[in-house]
Amino acid sequence: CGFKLRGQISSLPFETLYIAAPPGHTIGSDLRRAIDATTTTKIVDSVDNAEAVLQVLNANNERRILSLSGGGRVREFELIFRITTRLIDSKGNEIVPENTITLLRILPFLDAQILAKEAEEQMLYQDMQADAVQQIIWRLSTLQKSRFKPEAASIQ
Amino acid sequence: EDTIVKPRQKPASSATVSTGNDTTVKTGPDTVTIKADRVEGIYEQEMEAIGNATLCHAGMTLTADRMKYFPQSKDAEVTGNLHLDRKKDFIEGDYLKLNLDTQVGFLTEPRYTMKEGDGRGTGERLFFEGKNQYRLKKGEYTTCPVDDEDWYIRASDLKIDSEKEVGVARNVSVVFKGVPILYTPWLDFSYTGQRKSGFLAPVVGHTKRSGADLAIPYYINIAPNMDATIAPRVMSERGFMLSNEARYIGHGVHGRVQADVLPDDFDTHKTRYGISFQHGQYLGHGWRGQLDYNRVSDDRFLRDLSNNLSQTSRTNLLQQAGLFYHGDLGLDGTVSFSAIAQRFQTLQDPFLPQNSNLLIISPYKRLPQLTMNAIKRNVAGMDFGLNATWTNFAHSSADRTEGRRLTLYPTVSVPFRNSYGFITPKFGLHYTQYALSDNVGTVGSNTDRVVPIVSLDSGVIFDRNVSIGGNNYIQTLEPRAFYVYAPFKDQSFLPNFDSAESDFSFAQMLTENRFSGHDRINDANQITLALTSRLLEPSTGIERLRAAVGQQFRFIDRRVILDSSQVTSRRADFIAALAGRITREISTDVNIQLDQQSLRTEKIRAGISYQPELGKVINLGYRYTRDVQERLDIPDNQLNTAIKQVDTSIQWPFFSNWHTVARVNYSLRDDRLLAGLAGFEYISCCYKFRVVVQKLTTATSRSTTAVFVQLELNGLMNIGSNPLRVLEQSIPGYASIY
Repeated sequence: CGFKLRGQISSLPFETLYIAAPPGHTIGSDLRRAIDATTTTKIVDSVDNAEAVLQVLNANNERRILSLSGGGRVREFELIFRITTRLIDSKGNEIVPENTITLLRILPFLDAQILAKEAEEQMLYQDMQADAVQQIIWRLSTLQKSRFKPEAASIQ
Repeated sequence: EDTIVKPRQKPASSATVSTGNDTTVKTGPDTVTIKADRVEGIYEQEMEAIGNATLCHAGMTLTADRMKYFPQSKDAEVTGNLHLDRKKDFIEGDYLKLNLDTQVGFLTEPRYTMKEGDGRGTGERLFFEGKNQYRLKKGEYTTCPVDDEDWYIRASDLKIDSEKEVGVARNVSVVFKGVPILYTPWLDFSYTGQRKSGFLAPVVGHTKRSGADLAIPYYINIAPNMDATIAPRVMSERGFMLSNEARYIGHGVHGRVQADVLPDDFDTHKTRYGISFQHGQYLGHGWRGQLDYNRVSDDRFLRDLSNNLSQTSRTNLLQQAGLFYHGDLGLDGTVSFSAIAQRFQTLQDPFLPQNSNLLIISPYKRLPQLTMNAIKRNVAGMDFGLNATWTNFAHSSADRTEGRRLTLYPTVSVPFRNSYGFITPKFGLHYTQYALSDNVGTVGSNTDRVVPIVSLDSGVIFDRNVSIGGNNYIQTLEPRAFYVYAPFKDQSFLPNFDSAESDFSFAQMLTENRFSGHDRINDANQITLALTSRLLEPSTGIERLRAAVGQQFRFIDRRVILDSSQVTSRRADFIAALAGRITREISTDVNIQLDQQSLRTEKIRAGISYQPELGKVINLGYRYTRDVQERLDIPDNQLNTAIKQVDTSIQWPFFSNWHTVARVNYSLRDDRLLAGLAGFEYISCCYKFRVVVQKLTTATSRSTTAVFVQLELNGLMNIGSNPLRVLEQSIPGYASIY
């Protein structure tokens, strides 16, 4: 029915990429690993050697009360993961402006299970982070090579 | 010596007087230029300009019918249609006497307008008191436009510093719509809305719990990266309360302290307080420190005194110190470490009887917990992982088993991966060792447990181009299969420090252990099949819509159970979800879980949002959970507190200046309103008026209502605690449009 094995995602429109992520946050290493493992783009460890720079400007967790019990206690939290990224070239020109991916999960909650729920909350945040990494790669893979290399576009 | 007097070209009758060497205009900071229809005078002593007179000096332009100027003393005396245009303001009046050098003088019948901000006003007399400083006797001040004076302040003395852009008023009446609403002996304000110390807009209200309620916050601007707000609050049925909040932020450092004290509650005759302190600090080289301490004087403190759902619903207040590290382990590895000391203050529902089954058993204290996670990838084609945790669990209640627990979970996996798919076999050995305060069963106080876990994760990605409603999309199809095997180990004799059954979800069904925490490792022989399909925008890769289904097939009957604990939802094994934007304006998020064996719906989460533009959103939600077992050890079905709720919320500008937010969360199962909130904000050009009405459930069979009103006058009071903000947080998709 028209579906074919996806190959396009393996070739991002740049050969080398530097990832600038907040220090001490796992999002940087998750992105590095996923791009390294699923694409032909090489991850470099310095801006100078990179054709493109993926900046992770923000990666935040937030939780909001979703449902209450009849006694006014929390029964469900809504977990929100927001990540804001921007893509620039080695000269600092903006290729993809600041954009935010927001993901939501529901954490059912009981106060007596607070320790166990902490672990479950972490699992859901990791799940959202993995999802966000996948979505960022989808977004990068749809970039036109011509947008990235203006001189290539002018030849056509 | 720099005085130049130059008449206009017309009429011809005007005289020319110049103190310079020639008639060429020399411009300098002290140059005084006078133009008029007619200029008369005595050289270097006195001159008079009559008719359309203009005097320019040091960036100031003065026009009037008639002016006298004395070059030696630099005094000016001006009358008739007087306009003074200066760098920071524009002043009109009747009679002016001003020394151009010292900028000291006075003006009768003054009307002033600031060039920064919208401030303007009048007075009986205006005194110039040096550069950029003036004072009005019986002065008035407003930020409203001339024809639409909704409010003004009247002060016996109003001092304006147009350099700092601030005003200080004494004996002040605030007049709103012609009615004096407030008197204060002293008030200082920034007329350009700059961050400065001063009063914030007061909040007036009434709550069922505390009676009439008035809070007057005062903001203290300590430093550019540090501030504080002190809010005296008076409640007719509780007395005087003081709330203090301080915040700071710096390079890698941020923190907040909140301290509320009610020294003598009229109702309980006790001193009541609440403290909350958060501090976070990046220590460099991947290390981060964190402190979080919360404490209240009694179980009812937040329920009685807070109007925020996220406060009144709190049961366990965190008290924790932590040290965290995240770093690289060679090229393809990461290592993270954490050390925490954690305990909670558990707040009981004050309206439950002492022996109620619904009283919360306070969680274990972790004093401390040390965790290490290490991953090293691409070692001879294999990925290695290690999770190690050591915890000392303590409990305040004597009948709970305490103890120390060590877990080690090394894993090895062999990932095969290309651009369209992956297959990852993984093997892990979960080892746990307990040193307990009690003898447990037949094994004594020291015991251990080993569970091997084998899994196989695999997935493929297909895609195609589709056209839906004239738009082109990339549609993906992502099947995934996850198999896990873990043998049964009898764990019924082990304590339960931190385990619970994780709720069934897409994330959970693709994990190896259905229990969170480390006290229970499941027995598993099951395969999970999941299929996800997404619609992506081809030019940006942005996900528009996602549909997913998942099903778990189990080949054994599970025997590892949690005893004497609580579980939210059980037994589901089929899950379906649809999330994303159906059209440009309508988005949805629907999630359904079924128990296939008994063909029962276990859980529904359905939401739909209509958002035609930023600042306009309507949300409709329905939530159903068949089973929420508060206590698994109590068979009584009365403790099943299932969820069946509708939740609607809205943000909408109904009339041109009215901005409305509202939320209704109604429990169909209990037939009662769990949370009902409505806020209205009227925004005029020079003030904002807010009304907030709330109904909150604070405890079993208890709810409270609260009404709050706030009037914020632009250019007089800084924006401080805004009672609407609490409501806005509970509206999904809420957008601040100002």
